[in-house]
Amino acid sequence: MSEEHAVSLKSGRLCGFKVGAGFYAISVLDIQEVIKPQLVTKVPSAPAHIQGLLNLRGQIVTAISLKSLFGLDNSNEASGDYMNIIVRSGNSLCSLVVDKVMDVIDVDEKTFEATPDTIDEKVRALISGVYKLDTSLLMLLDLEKTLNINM
Amino acid sequence: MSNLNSANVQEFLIESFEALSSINDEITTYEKNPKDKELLNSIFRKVHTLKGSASFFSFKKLQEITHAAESVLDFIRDDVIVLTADMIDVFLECFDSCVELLKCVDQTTKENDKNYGALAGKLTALLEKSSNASGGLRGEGTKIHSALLEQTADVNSLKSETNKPVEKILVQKNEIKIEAKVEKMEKIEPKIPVATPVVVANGTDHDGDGAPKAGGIADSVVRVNVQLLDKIMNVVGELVLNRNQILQFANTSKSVDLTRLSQQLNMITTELQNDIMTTRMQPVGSVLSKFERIVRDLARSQNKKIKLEIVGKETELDKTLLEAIKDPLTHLIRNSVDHGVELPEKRKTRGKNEEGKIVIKSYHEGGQVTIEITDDGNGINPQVIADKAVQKGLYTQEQVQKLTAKQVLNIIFLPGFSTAEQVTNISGRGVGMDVVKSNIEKIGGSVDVSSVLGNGSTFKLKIPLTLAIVSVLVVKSEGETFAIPQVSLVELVRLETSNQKNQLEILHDSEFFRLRGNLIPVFRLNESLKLAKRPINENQLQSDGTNIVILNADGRIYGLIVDEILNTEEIVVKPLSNKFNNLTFFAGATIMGDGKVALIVDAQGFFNTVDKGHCHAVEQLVDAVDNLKKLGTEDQEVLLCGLGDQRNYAIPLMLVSRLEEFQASNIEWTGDQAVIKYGNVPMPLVNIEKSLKLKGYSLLESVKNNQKTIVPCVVVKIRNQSFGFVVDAIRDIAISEGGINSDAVDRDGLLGTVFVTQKTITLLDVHSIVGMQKLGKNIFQKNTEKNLGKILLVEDSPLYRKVVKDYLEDNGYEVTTAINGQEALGILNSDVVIDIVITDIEMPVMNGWDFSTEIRKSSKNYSKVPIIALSTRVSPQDKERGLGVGFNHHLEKLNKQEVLNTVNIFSKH
Repeated sequence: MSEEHAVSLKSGRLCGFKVGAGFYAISVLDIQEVIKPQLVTKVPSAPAHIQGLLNLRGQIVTAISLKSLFGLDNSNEASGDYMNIIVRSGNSLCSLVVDKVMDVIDVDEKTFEATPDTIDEKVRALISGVYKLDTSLLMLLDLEKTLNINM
Repeated sequence: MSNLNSANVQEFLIESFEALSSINDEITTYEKNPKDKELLNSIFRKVHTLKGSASFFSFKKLQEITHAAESVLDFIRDDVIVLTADMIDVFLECFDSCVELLKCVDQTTKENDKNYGALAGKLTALLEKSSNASGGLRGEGTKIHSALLEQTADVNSLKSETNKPVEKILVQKNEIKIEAKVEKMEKIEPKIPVATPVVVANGTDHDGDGAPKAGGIADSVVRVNVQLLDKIMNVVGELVLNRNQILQFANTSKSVDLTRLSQQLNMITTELQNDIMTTRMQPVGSVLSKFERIVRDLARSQNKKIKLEIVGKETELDKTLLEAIKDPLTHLIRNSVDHGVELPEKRKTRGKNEEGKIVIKSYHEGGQVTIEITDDGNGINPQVIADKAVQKGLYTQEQVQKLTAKQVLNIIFLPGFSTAEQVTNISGRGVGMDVVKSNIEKIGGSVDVSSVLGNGSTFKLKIPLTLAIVSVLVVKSEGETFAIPQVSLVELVRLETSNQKNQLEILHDSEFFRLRGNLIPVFRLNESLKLAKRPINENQLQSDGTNIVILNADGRIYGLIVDEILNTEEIVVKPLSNKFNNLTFFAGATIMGDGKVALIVDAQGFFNTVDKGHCHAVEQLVDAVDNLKKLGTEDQEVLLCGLGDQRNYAIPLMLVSRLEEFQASNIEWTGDQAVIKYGNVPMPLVNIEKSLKLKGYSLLESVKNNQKTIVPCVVVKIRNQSFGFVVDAIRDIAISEGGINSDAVDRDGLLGTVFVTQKTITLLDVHSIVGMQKLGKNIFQKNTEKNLGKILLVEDSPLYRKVVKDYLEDNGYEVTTAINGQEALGILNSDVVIDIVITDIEMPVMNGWDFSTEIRKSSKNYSKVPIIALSTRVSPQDKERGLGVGFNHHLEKLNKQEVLNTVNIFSKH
């Protein structure tokens, strides 16, 4: 499976971002834009990982807290210390709430590996593999799974 | 040629032009990729449709051309022959001719008189070739085209001179293009030697005709994908929001230019919004017309005779909604045919026209579209419905008996209910009506049924004009903004803290509110949604009262407590992402004027989620209370108000003419009497506390000392003179339970006590309070001098007796009272001269009906006395019965002015 994935991503450049202490990435082609924190309307009784709804130029965007999905403390989000990565999900827009957006990275497909078992289970369920960078591991987020997770 | 209505022809034209233009593209594409079977199929389907419609509208030439083309295409599809370039030429020519014919139809509603023999010949040739290739002789083509060919011969003889040069060219053309199949083509050529020139002539005509037809239908209509329209609609919705923000900003700005520009933006946006809305509108006729056929077929299959009448085909409705009501409507129509209209024989025996009638009527009403389906058939028998409901276990016998006629009829909308005695293949499977209802409600509409047994039934569908924009009430809870659709809104109630405890009740750990005698469950929005509590000091700010939004969720009434009620607004509904699929509280989200996202509360979904079955318990309780009420005598509507001593008082609502709030600064004082200008005359304000010598403060006194600025006032009209009863607070309107108890009255000015929501409330006697005023005394003296006549008032309710008596006496009548018919007869028999009898109907010992009958039967003088009957409800049947027993007039109790008018009329006799 990792082989297939690597092939499909060959042409892609990745956008890296930080969630807690970990480095993650998704394909730049999946990203519509990156925006600063907006006024968020909370949705009562919604799953915990849903931060709320925001208005992006008249479109309603559902914000998903990756920290909460990964089981991390997301109290920093209350103070507006985060970034929104806007991605399209079906007919609607979603925002991945991350700590910090990093550079666009060109990765070498040879460095792609299957997800190591040592990674926390909550995170492992949502990533499709890792890239070994010089100094760190870059985890490739499975966008499909992340956006359609049922909690 | 076509006598069908032009709208259909127009539609046919639009469709055909479109099909032809895409066929042209497709056939050339196919030439390049002959392996693309799907493309060929698509061409084939279009030609087939074209042929079908042409024959439907009896455009003969079009039909024959397309038929031949279809046959050839069929061979190609079956791989009998291979499509070659020359064949494509023929096809293209053939489709050009079709366009030409259609253009002519567009302009003259007829096909042109041109002759397409040559084209037909070519097609026939192709067909024959194909048949040969397929081995057998399918020769169908030749037969069909014989007619056209004959025509060709005639034309040829006329045109033979001009033909020759053109023929040459064409032959040359053929030679160039025909490759492998040259032989066969040539064989056929002699058969139609003079066909070609006509085609060429047509070609030039076609070019010549093209220019003046530029304004034809094909050019004036553009087909647009509904999804694109939806998107434009959305964008316009956003523009509207943006405009709202700019307008808000412009209002606070001092720049004249900005204000002017924003006004312009406002107008343009509004116009744009309206125009975009109209693009989505379609006449309901496009759906309704289809029912002609359905009704006809169904009626025939059941040996019924039914005439369908459609009124208001041109009423326009949003396209999406139109699609959504198609199925529910079909079901209702089928029902009307199947269950509604009877068989001809049965109709005859019932004295009806053998031919039944179903009327579909659609019209605009109150910002909605109403569609009514009326049949003149059986009607719905409530008894049958009720029995069936019990039999199916939907209700118990006792429950059914408590339902009103209307509620019984509405049982048909419950899931799993069917009345057809026999299940037919048309309807009667019991899965229909509940689906109809839920489908209509899904789009924000409603279904209502009414029926007269034996005379037919009417289904009334109310459909919103559009789905995209909804009117909502904006509320706040814990600082969050929520929108509640106006459709589900019943009313708004505010409980002041001072008597809040009296009105919210707790049963089974849940809160309830008594809304005019009915217990309804209330929920706190913040608690139900588990919203985070704000700091306490902020909470205290709004603790001076409770706002309850009363909602209707499919007939279930409940209250929602919110912190603040802001305003109503027109919003654009945006669906929630599928991540909230199991979140039933909300119907969607919207963007408010300030750019913030607000959630839209789904009244039905909310209720289903928060209602944990305890409402059933309450229903039983409410039933119990209702039963209690029935035991009591007549209930009175009273206005609840508070006085300076902080106790609850009530004034019979009948006596109240208006409720007012005056500015304290407008009150003038003449001595100790407060007066306010009301209308154009001074109106005395009554200090109730002082008149009744109550302890505690008096509001009017505080006004005198400038402590109050707003003065709530109950205006009561006595003898055409208004009096303002100053109260501390006006609370609510309630129904008093049971009769009035005057045992505990300790002073003048009090009528007695009544029970309201099982609490004791003191009723004020406004007449005697007015009598205590210096001003009031004068008024009374003025009128009692003239005696207009003597009235016998028969009434068992002490309160009503007193009220009517006072009222009539105020207006110059002498009134004697009796508490029932028996006692009244006694008075009449005691030789007192009575000019008019006013009687209640429901009374113990002897009721109004019997009393009247007795009077009319009597041999004494009073047998001709005018009798005016008063009752709480007057149905037409009641009126008829009243005339039978000798009532001269039958009135509703609550309208005292009308009572007086009627009395005045009879007293002059």
